Order: sequence, then structure tokens, then C-alpha cells
Amino acid sequence: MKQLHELAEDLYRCIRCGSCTAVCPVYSEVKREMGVARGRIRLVREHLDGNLDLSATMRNYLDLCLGCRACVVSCPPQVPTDRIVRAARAEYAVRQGQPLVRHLLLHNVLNKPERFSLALDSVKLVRSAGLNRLFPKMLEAKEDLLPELPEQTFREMLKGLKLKKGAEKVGFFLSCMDDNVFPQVIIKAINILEELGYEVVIPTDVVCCGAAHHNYGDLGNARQLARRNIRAFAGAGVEVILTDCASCGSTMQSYGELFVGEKEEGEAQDFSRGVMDLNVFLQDKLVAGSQPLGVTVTYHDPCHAVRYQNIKEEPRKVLAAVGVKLEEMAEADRCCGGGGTFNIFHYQLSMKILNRKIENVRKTGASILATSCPACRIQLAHGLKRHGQTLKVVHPVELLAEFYGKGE
Amino acid sequence: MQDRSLVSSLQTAVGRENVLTKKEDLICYSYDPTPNHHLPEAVVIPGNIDEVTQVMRLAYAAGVPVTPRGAGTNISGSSIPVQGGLVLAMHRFDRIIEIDTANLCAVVEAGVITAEFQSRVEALGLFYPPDPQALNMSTLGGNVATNAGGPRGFKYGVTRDYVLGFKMVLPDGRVLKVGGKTVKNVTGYDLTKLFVGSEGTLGVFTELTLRLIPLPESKRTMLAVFDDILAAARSVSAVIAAKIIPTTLEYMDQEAMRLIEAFAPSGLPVDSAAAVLIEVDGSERVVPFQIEQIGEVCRREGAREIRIALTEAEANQIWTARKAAFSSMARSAPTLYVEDVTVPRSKIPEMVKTISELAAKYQIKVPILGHTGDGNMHPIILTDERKPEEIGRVKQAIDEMFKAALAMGGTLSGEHGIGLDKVKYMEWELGTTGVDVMRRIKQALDPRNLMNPGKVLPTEAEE
Repeated sequence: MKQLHELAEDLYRCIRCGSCTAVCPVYSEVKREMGVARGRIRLVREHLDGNLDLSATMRNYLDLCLGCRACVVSCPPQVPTDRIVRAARAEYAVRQGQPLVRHLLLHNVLNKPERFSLALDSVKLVRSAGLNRLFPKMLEAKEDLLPELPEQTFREMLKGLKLKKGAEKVGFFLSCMDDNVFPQVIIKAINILEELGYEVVIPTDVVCCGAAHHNYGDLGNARQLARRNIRAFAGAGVEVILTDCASCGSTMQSYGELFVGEKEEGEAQDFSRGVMDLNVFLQDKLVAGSQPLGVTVTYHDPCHAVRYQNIKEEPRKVLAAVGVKLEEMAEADRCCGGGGTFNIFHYQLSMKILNRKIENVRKTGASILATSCPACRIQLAHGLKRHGQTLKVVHPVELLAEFYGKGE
Repeated sequence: MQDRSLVSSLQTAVGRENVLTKKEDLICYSYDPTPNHHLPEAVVIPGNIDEVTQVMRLAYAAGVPVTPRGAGTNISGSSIPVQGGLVLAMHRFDRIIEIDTANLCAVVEAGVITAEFQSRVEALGLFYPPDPQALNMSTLGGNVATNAGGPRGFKYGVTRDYVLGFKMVLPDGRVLKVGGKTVKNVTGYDLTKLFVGSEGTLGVFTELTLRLIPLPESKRTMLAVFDDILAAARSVSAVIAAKIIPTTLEYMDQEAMRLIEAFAPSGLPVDSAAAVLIEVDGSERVVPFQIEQIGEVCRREGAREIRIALTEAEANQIWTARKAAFSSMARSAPTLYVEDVTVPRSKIPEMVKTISELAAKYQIKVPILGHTGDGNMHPIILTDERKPEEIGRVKQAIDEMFKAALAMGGTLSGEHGIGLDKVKYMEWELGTTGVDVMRRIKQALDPRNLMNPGKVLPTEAEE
């Protein structure tokens, strides 16, 4: 990954036209120049020119970036603001360290699968005892972000699963969110892949993909996690590593960049090239059936799919194969405001951004909202609940499983 | 800001959270798309007209300059606080107060985004034609303050032609109300024309009454390709002589097309000398005949090829190419000087030739776009602000370009405004009398010269 000073040339390419102000979800709520790419780029430029320290104020402004890349796509000179923001956060982290809560999250929770499960277990415990009702209002709202948790994690379920052998092997990356919150998505993905004749290999010694570490400039841990995931797949004998999580997918596709100039670079790049979104893998392997599901679905494009992996048509092809009626929402590719952990650190702002998304969803009249990122899914479900909407949120593969008769 | 008591009075006036004084904040309000920049001492974000009044009174009493700012998308330097003081950020004025379908007008606050307003009125079958390039970001207040124009200007005019009235806070804090919902109004001096385009030097707009027209039923688009620019110019004149007024007549020269094709390939004829994108709009029954007629006229005048879009997709493809022009240029150089020198339509070939000669003489790259219907040319100088020697050549070329345009009976600015960089040419166009009249108007309204100082008019010492 490029360091801040290596991005100087990109910074100078900003012509300050303000195109980013028309598309930035944060700017449309805060309406202040510090909350949009043009301002952030200028602040970083002044820092590199020696006119401004990397202050806590500046870090706070840089933290207000969702990394959704809407500005990059609409930017006339294509300034990579997402990279600039990440590099500036990394530089700040090296000099000043991370704020305490984030430090704990990055180092003590997200780093180790068992800790993440343990953290969620304690949520379950708190909930079952009704203690969450005693939380202060703000904390209660944030706690409510997390949906109802399943009885068993996928890792626990896997012990009782008999995976089929097949002619061709495909790898599947077990994301933290799926493992702990949406294990049914992986179960259904396995069903479909096996139905199509594939043998699914799921290494359980994988760890967090490192998206949050990458995002908040904790590159030491990001590399550490990347090494472990690369090692976990090293002996699996698979060419393709599938994931149903857009964020994990795009993060793992950038592992190569984490090791530029280091001895692991080649191996990391090979790994990154093998990472593929589940929708992309499935889109041309499905046969449209004769019994369409009689439901209307609308689809939300995760930023990490549509703008990091250029995935737009593929999930729609999967939905078309299921035979649902797709009713496109306005601004389907506009960020939902989840931003990984943005919704935890900036809850109220995140909810304002989410309101617009939910309004666009509501206008479609759809009964199902499909998306391909567990982080978006959590955010969207939270928004629907806040607005009293009854739509179900699913991954396209869950509808596919229903269509193939592989539902519950 | 040095004056702590002013800061605390401002905080009382608009709320603590709406007065920004941290260095990080000031940096974010120190620039616009031109290479100029200067830090303000504070950024003030008022929420209603009373707050603007209070801010202006406080600033005037303290002798502190005030620079109004919409979306900061102008390309003349007009929203840069060159003398420090306050930046008055108007984006909280974002309400569309009324769309009056009976009187075909709308009342809006000054911070409403142009494109948002357009889509709201178009949903009602109405039309607000002014279309500056930055319409997705710009504010209506900023458009009125700079009298912004755009490609549709030839047929539909510019922002000024749609301003029926406004509310403005004058430099001393008094509220000026001009015009209203009537189309006809000859009561006294035409203050609308005076204040529209005054670039924040005479006061700050807070509310606008804008004229609307019915949305045209349909439109058709074509691209005419030429092997020499004289044929292109002749064609434009011939189309107008045939009594057809297209919505747009967008000129692209060879260098512009090459840049577009390099970054966003869309099938433009890069081996031709120039292409003109022509669009007509109006009644469904008339528009198809007009586009055919234009095609014939262009062919007769020597067009090499005529591409008439048969479907909306084809029309979009032609427009996509034209719209990619700016981003292609932005990707090819870190600094752009986007000029808007304007000449009588008949002088376009001469102006194009002059610009090409200047580019060669000063060894700079200057692709040319232009709204040929109204003679408004956009030579875009591709350069790098970090290379002082090259910038020196660029500035010499610009000086000569303006001299040539004025000699042809043209004007310094067709639609961007004077701002900072063109102040030094004002007397070339207006003469001492012209500048003196403008200066007297400025002094009458702003005797302490605190309202967006340094813009539009040269100070007496600069002459």
C-alpha cells in the first residue's frame, strides 16, 4: 500500500471542481467542506506542504469518510481519495496511535475469531438477561444495530456438516460476520455450489480479512491477518476463493498491495487474483427456471462490490435466474452509511445517510431487499426496523436456494 | 481570528457551531477551482436572513471583509477571501419555498443546488434552462451572483434572463427587495440587472424569484464533423440564417477530441479538424424536421459527416463524449485555466486561429471547446501550477488572447465572471469611464469596500 508522500502527485491532481460535493453521502448531510473529498484532499496537501500538522481535528475529519468511493468514480481527474484517506490515517496511527475504543476493536476483538465470537456471545447473554434495556438510549440504539444472533456459529455448525466431494474444488472464505451472524448464507451457498457439482473447501483457520485494520491505517495487523489467510488457503488446492461478503472480497483482492516490494508480494498477489465474489462466480452457471418466485425484490449495491470490484450486473443476473421481479430503487449504488464500523463511531450521521437509502427502498414497494455484504445487511435491517418497514433482507444466494428447493 | 469579541458576537448571532475558526476549517474555505487561495479569519454559516443581517452589521462595524460563498465551483476566483475576513457560507439556505405553476415562477433560497431545482420543476413539466457546467454542485445564489450561463444559453439565454426578483442583504446589513412574480416590471432603475452578476461585491443574495417556462416536449441530437474550422463556422451561421435556433451548438476542436478519445473512447472523429454537437428541442412534430434540415445545411456548407442520433441511447453517446471533455482534460494536467473569452459569432474562426497561434508561440497546450451559437469560446489551458516558468508563459498567452478578443469586438467573460484573475483587464474593455461608473456604484453601496473586496473592479492603485 502506498504511503502518504507517495500519493502527493495524486493530491495535486485535484482541480477543486467540487464534483465530489454532488455525490458524497457524508457531505449531503454535514454540508461542510471538511466533510467531502475536496476539503480532505486539501488538508492532506497542506500537511504534505508542511503547513499543517496531522492534528486530532484533521483525524476526526478524515474519519468522517465512509470510503464509499462515490467521489473517486465521479472525479474528473480520478483522484483516489479513498487511498489518500487510508494512507493519512495510517500515518496518523503510526505517529499518534489509535483512539482507545478503536485500538481495542482492532487489536483485541477483530484480530481473533474466538474473541469476536466471545464478544457476540456476551451480547447474547446481555440480551437474554434483558440488560440491554438498561443501556443509555444512545448505546441501546447502537446495540440494536446487531440483529438477532443465531444459536450456533458456522464453525460450530460445520462440525455436523458432511461436505460433498466433487469434480472441481472451490474455496470459500469464512467471514467473521457470516460465521457469527449469518451462518445460513454459507449453508445455502454450499448447497447451491454442491448442486452445481462443486466441492466446497472451507478452511476454518482463517481470520478476519482485515478490512477495518486496512481502513483505519493499522497496516501491521492488516498484514498479519493477510498472512494467516493466505496460509490457511495454501494447502487447500483451490484456484478460486469465493466470498459472499463484498468487503472481505475487496479487502482480500488488495492483499497484493499490502506487500509491495516484500518477499510475500508474489504469493499475496496470486491469492488476491483468486478471490471472487459469489455472484460473479454464479452468474453464468445458473439456468433460469420455469417456476418464478412470485416476489418483488430490490437490490442494494454494496460500495465494496460496485465501486471496488466493478460488480453491477452479476447479482442482478443471479436474481434474474431465480425469477423474481427486480424493482430497481433510486440510487441503488449509493452508500447505506454502514461503512464497516462507521455506524458505530458516527451513529447519528450514519442514520441520516441510511434514512435516504431506506426511503429509496420503500418507494420500490418490494417485499425483499437483497444485498451482497453482511455489513450493509446489518445496517439496512436496522434502518428498516427503525422505519417500521417489514422487508426481509437477504443475500441473493438465499433466494437462489429457495428456488432450487434448498431452503430451510 | 484576532478579534475575539467579534467572534463571540458572531457566535451569538448564528450559533456557536456555525462559526468556524480552526485552521483546518479555514483551509477548507480558502480555495476554489482556480489556483488562487487565501485563508479567511472565520467561516460563518447563517441559517436565515436575520442572521445574515446581523453578521453583515457586525462585520461592517468591525471593518472586516465578507466574502459570500455558494458551492465554491466558480472558475474566476470570486469566492476566495483574498483579504481574509469572513467567508459567508450560504449552503443552509436550501429551501425551495414555492413553485408557482400559475405564474410560471419559483421562489427559492439562495443555497438550493441548481440541478435539484431543475429536477423538481421538470417533474411538474416546467423548465429552468440555465445549465452551467457545475449545475450538479452549484447553488442558484452562486449562479445569480455570477450570472452563470451554459450550453443552452444560445437559445434560452443565461441566468439573468430568469431572475424576476430577489432579496439581498446589503453590505451595511439592510435588506433590499427587488422585483417579484410579475414578468413586467419597469418601476425605477433595473436593479435586477445591476445585481445579477455582481459576484458578491454589492451584497449577498438570500432569496430568488426565478422565471420558469414550459418544458419542451422533445429533443434531437446530432454531431456534425468538419475537415476545416471555417466550414464549421459557416455551418453554424447558415443554420441560424435558416431561422433555426438550436438549443446547443457545442464546438470541439481536434485536440479536445483527441484528449477525450484518450481517456474515454467514444468514437469521436479524431482525424477531423472539429466537430459540432447540435441539439434542437421543441414540439414533437417540428423537431425531427429541424434536425434533418440542420444536417442538410451542414452538408451543404462542407460537413464531412453528419451523425443524427436515432435513439435516446445514440443521443446519450454523443453527449457522453462531450461531457467527458472536461474530465479528460483534468486527467491530462494538474492545473487547468478554463477561460470563457467571447467574440461575435462571425469572429469564431479568427478567434480559434488566434488561440492556436498563441498556443504554438508560448508552447502550451490549449484544446478548445465552445458554445459556438453565442460565440462563447472555452480555450482550456493545460498546465501545472508548480512550474512558475510555464505559468509565466500561460499568463502572457492569456493577456494576448484577451487583447485579440477585445480587438474583434468581443468580451473578457461570456459566463464565468471577472473574479480575481481578469480584474487587470477590466479597463481594456470598459475604458476609464466604464470602470469609474462601476466603481462609483460600488462606493455608493459599500463605502468601506468590505464586500468581497479585490474582485471585479481594480483598486485605484492597480490602474
